Amino acid sequence: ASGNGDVMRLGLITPPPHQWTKTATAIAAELEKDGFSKKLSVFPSGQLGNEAQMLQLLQTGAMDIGFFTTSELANRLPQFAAFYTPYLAKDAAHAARILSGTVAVEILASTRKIGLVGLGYGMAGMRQIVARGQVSGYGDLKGLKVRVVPDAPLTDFWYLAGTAPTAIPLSVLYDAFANGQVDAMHIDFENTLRLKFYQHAKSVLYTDHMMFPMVALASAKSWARMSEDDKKYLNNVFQKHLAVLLTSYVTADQGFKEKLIEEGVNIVKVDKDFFGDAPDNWYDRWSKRSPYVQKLKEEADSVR
Amino acid sequence: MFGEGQKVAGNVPRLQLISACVAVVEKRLAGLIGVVVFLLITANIICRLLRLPVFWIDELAIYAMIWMAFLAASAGIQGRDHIVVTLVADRLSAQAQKFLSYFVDLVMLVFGGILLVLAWVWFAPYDLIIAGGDVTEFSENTLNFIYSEPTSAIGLPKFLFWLIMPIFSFTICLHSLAHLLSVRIVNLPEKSKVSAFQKEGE
Amino acid sequence: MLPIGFFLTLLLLGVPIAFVLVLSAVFLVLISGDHVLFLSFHQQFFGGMEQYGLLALPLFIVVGELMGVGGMARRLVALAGLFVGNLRGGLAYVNLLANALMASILGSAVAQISVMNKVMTPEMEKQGYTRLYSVALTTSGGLLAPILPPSMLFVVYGVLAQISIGDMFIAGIVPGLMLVAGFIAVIFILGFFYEYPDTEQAVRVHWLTCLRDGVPAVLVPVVIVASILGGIATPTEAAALAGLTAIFVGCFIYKELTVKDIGPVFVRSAMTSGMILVLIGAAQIFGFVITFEQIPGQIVNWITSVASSELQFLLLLNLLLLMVGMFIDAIAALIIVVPLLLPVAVNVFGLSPFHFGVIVCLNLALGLVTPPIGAGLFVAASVSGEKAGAIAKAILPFVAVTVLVLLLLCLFPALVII
Ligand code: NA
Ligand code: NA
Repeated sequence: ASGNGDVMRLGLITPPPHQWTKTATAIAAELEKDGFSKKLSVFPSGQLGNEAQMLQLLQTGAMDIGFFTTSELANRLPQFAAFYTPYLAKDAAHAARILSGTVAVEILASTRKIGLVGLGYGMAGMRQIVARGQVSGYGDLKGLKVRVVPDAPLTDFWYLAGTAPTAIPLSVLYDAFANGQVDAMHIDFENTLRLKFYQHAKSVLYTDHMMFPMVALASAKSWARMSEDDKKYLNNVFQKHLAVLLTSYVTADQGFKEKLIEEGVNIVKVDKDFFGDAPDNWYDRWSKRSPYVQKLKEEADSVR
Repeated sequence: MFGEGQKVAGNVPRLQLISACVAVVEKRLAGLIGVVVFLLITANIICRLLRLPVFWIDELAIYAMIWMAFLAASAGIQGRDHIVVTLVADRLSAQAQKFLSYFVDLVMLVFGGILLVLAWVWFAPYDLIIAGGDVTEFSENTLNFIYSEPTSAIGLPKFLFWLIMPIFSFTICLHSLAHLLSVRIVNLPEKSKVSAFQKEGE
Repeated sequence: MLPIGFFLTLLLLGVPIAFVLVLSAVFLVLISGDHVLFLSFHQQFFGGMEQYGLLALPLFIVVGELMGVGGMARRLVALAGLFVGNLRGGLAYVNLLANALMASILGSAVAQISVMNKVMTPEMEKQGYTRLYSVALTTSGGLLAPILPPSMLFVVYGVLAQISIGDMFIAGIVPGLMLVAGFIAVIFILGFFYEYPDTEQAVRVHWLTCLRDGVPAVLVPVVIVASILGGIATPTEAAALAGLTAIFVGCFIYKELTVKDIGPVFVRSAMTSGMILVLIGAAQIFGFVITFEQIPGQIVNWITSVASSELQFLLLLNLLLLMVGMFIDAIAALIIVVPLLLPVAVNVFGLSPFHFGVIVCLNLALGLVTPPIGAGLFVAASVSGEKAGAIAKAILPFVAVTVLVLLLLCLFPALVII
């Protein structure tokens, strides 16, 4: 920001105990240790606003760096739809390899068009299904109200799967799920455990049907004010810590699953057939909307 | 339409009358939008019961509520309905109270002016014209992405909903300027307020 | 100090509070030199209201209006009067119990204060209570909303702290009941200073008539509870269903509500809720700017440098939160305060996140009814026509009890059971 040249602000929506926030604070600590000319202040829990508001703060240059889910980006840049390809990654380790590949870097570069500079990827756990009722095979999903974050590629997938995608904010999801305003949710093991959604679930399906990237972005405006050396240094520090974050989820995702099993949750593994034609139909439709859907798929298959 | 207003219209600055009329429109519109919010939420329940949830209803209801709030808040300036601390005013003479109210109106006018300038900078209509209405070119020239910002569920550009901000900024200026100009005319603010309220009760 | 002086000057001179908050944010940005924030001002103002949970506010205000205009409120009170018989100050206790009941339905203190003031205050006045006392009692009842489950504050807190919302609700039960007991004591003691009318004198109608007339009105709260627990509606949506029920009962059963009444009901509700919503949006800008300028962080540093024991920390926390609650809306305050203070509370002073959560939420709820800024006070004032300052004074005994409960919670963490 203009008035406080010696402070950089990093905003994100996750709370302090979350792995993303820990990564951000670790980066801030490293900058301080190295005696970097600017202090990095971390604003967790959406203190500076929701993701849409924080994107705008990056664009104006008020905020310097942000960690984002792909949801807001997918609504602005069709390239990001590629990450929503169902069964693109077979597991968290594969997802981490995809995010370290060249196509992912090209997709990240597209954020330049909206005034942002990509610093790299992190991620959260693979998406699973948590349902109130008994859901075990193809057809059981039909007509269920599934909670999603409202972005076009994701909503479309759940329509194609014959469900009724429903937008419910995370803050009221526990009640909505307990009371039955939604029948199921598209979520990871981590939140299922932490927010105790399993307490009201008859079925926890281990689908691994989608990956969940996190995108670290800098403001093009504040980036332009920095020296080449500073840019290089920051890029290195972020790359290093984001790589740690990526690999940490490979083991963490399994850890959350095991903790759920310890809590007595019956986790049922289902495969791609569970969704019927939906994954293929989604691919046909979205590969026409963005060439990156096919490009990313080809690369993903090569690092499988 | 404004029986009460017309009687005093002879010695009223025209601005005052406009402000009162605008406030009546704002109130009715706010009430109407309130009905829309109510119906949208009801529709959401029904659609979900029929297992046909429409996922943009909530978002539209929120935007409608915000329009309702800003319209009501604007009318509230004209009617002096806003929540204020009267601790000091209650202990002052009538003359001093009048002076204080003049000062408050002045602050409100300055406030409205600031918001109006900020809205102008944000919407940058001049730059949009230079870009020939081309949003991509506009964003490249200005690094201002207001016109390319989407809503997350409805699928319309978000600036359509943000339009209430310049409108609100403008009506703050209108209402507080009307108050300021009427300060020497005895009792006038009260009368215009009464006429606006009476219509509503009918 | 300069921004605080600016803020207080405008406030005391009578500039509307919502605009004092925005102007103070403008002032802060000007002196900080971060002028780039001006580019986000309108978006933050608008975005401050862009929350699903806020929809409950206008909808519940409509329900309250409809219950008053349609004759439901009056009959409900008469019905409740049957259960307290001719106890002195009966209606005051009815009011409190009704509030405790509503508290487990509504999540929002502001919504509860507006609905209950619409419903209860005119009835208490009719029976001979002073309006100011009635408003104070009803408004303090609103303090139960965020503590007795369910609670919007607990939901937001649970998400911020990443702890179970269900367990958080359970943690609120004992403190909530302590508040109820404390308030009953206050009503009893205040009875020596105010002349409470007897319930019997007021209710002259036969009990059978009372019961028969009251039953359809009970439909409104029943619809709220049943639709939430039955999985048909979120609490926000339940308000819309309750509104439909109120229109139905008022038009077709009591026949006191006509189509012509409905327009003005919505206009009045829009005006009342509009002022409050804009205040919440304004608080958002204010909160955003002080967060951006890292003012809360400086306060945390100060706390950790001053406090050396768990109890000292909690006492300082109470003082700080009461001050925060005065100026900033409870949910906005929660978003600013929790990420800063929770790690300190848990890691440095070894508090349980549930204990900390109950104390923070109760403090911020208290902020709703303490001057100079409290959404609860303002709603009560705009619904009843009494001055916010007068209500703030009349509500003091209830505030004192709440502070006492807070102190007990600080001294005895075991009271927060999960
Ligand atoms: Na409650
Ligand atoms: Na307060």
